[in-house]
Amino acid sequence: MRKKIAFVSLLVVFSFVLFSWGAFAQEKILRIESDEWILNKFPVREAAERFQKDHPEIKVTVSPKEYKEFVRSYLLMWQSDETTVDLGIGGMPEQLAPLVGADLLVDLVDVVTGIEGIMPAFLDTAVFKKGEERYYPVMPFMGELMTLNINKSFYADAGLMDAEGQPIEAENWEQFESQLQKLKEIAPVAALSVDWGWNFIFYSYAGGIQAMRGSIYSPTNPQWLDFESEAALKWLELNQKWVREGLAASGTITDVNYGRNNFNAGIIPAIYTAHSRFIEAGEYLGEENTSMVSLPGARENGSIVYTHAVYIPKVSPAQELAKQFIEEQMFSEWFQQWGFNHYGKLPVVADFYNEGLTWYQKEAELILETVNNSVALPKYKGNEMLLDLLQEQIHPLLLDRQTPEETLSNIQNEIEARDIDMTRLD
Amino acid sequence: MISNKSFNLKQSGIAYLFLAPAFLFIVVFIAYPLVYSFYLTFTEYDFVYDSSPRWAGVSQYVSIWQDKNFISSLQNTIVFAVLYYSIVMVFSLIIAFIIAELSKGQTFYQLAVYLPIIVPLSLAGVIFAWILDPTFGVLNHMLRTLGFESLATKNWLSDYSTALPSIVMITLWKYVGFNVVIFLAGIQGVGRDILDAAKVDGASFFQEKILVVLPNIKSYLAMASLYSIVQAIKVFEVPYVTTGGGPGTATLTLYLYSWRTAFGYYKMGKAATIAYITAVLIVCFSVLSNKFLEEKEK
Repeated sequence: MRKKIAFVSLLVVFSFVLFSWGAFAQEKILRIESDEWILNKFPVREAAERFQKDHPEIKVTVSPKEYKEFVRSYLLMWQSDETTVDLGIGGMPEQLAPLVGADLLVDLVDVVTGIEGIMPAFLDTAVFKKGEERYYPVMPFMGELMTLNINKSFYADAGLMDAEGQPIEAENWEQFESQLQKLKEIAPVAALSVDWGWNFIFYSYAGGIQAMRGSIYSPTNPQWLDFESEAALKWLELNQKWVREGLAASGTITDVNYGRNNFNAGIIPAIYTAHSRFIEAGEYLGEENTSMVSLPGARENGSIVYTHAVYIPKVSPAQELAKQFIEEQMFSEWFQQWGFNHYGKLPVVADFYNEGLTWYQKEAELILETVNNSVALPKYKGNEMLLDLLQEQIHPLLLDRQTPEETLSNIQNEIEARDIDMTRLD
Repeated sequence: MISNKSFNLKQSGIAYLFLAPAFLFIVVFIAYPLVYSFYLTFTEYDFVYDSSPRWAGVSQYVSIWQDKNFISSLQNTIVFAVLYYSIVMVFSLIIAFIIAELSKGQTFYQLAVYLPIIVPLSLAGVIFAWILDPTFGVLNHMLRTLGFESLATKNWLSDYSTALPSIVMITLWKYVGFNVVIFLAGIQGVGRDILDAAKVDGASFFQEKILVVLPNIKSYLAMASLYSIVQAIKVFEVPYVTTGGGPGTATLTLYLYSWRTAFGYYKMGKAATIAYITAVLIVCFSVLSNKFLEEKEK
């Protein structure tokens, strides 16, 4: 009897262990965390379902990031060798730099090289350097281009459309200013809003300089962003003058959505910011009423691009699954074009600019042409400090409290005084 | 038989046992972070690139005075504190006196002024950012309706001259009610006999309030004063939500700068130093305020 009991007990124990082990062995889990806005503007959840359908043994969970300041929480979590996430979605590469600096992310070079046709300008946003070696701890999955988003109704009323009904692109800055003056006469607030808020100040500052001289780097120190050239001075002078004369609004200084809201409301005719704003505004103003034009010089010299990226923590036990998800879903034609067709977010693979794009085809051509000439911003160790310094100096300039010369010289001096680390990470 | 000594020991042992969880909580969540962050003020520690803090002596306390942003944030915090403290104390005292004089609806008005306290400060910031919006804001719309065209185009939060005062106003809206309730409790506690005696002696309305009521609510004044000073110096949420410290550094405050240094730049040693200087400032102002009230009492 005893033997029987012992046998049955052992059988139960072994079955339980085997079953548990089998269950764990069978189910692979991929945990995705994404910025909330990305979950709204990209079909991440649908991609997860598709991935599960293709691989029934894998369970994919998708959740929004718990904290707005996610970089900080990821830093703490991953430095403690723990993770609740295997694949992070969202965050600009320069924003993710602390995670790269702390060596917490997996090198995605095999994924990057495995996908053909990623546009170099977008890829440049994600490259980092370890010694002399270039690597990709983050990978861009969508792109944006700095450009002039316009309301065509205003342009038509101001007589700024050509015979084919397309907005006339200013060939030089004098012509651009005269266009602003014409627009100002019919616009309720101002003709233009440049995104000078904390989230775009880097791009807006560099975008104007790139359009003017085809480079964003200092003529004397090629590692540094340009704070000394004639173009830098002129870009600041123009912006100060436009605000002083009421041609441009300064609301973005403290309200980062000022330009976007006023553009969507049909109050401001033009905003200099990410291209997807004119596509977003199409929903409110009508697709036929919004478009984009290049700043003078930007067609030849290019503009600034930025991206949002995906990344995999080194502490994740599901690194290969995460890579597989990126390759199979996020870089599929369907996923990449969905973002453009719904919210104007750019595919990062050149081949996907095809008939699969269902709207704004004309603009898509111009975007593709400009992106090919455009550049990514450099990534510095002291990026955040530099960002704050730009705000502290450019905001008073726009409000006429200091000259463009003083602004540039203050920026250069303060970089030294504050010991801002200008070591390049890329 | 149990001796008194062993009974006391047993009793105190049980007491310590009951105190242990609270003690543990204080040590882990208050004492340790306080001591550790104080230690950090004597170090240089880049949270991203350094594996551990590096001892730097008092260099943070010396070099901080060369930092223009720190000086700006210190100035802004002091200006904010002086403006906020003066207005909140006087204004809430006046409201409390008015409510105390009402024969009907005291509870309603008390509730009405207290209500904003339940709105989170960050949310209040968002609401006021909309109210103060130059194009769509209610304030400019009202000014336009009332014929103040030149003011109606003002960008209250982006203008150097109005950004900080706007933040003071938003914070006032939130906290005036708290002080009013404290003062009301004090005013209503002043004995009827004292007030009647003052009247018999021929005290006017204002004399009664200033010379009789105020000295009798000194402890309430001290409490509200301390609370207001702490609120004023640790101002953070409203500038964070509405202006981000701008335009330029016009609304950068000490707490905001400390937060930015810690979680934007990851310079933990410097951030801790700013936080400790802020704490010292709070202590100084509180001592000053108490001294002032004590002097008055003498």
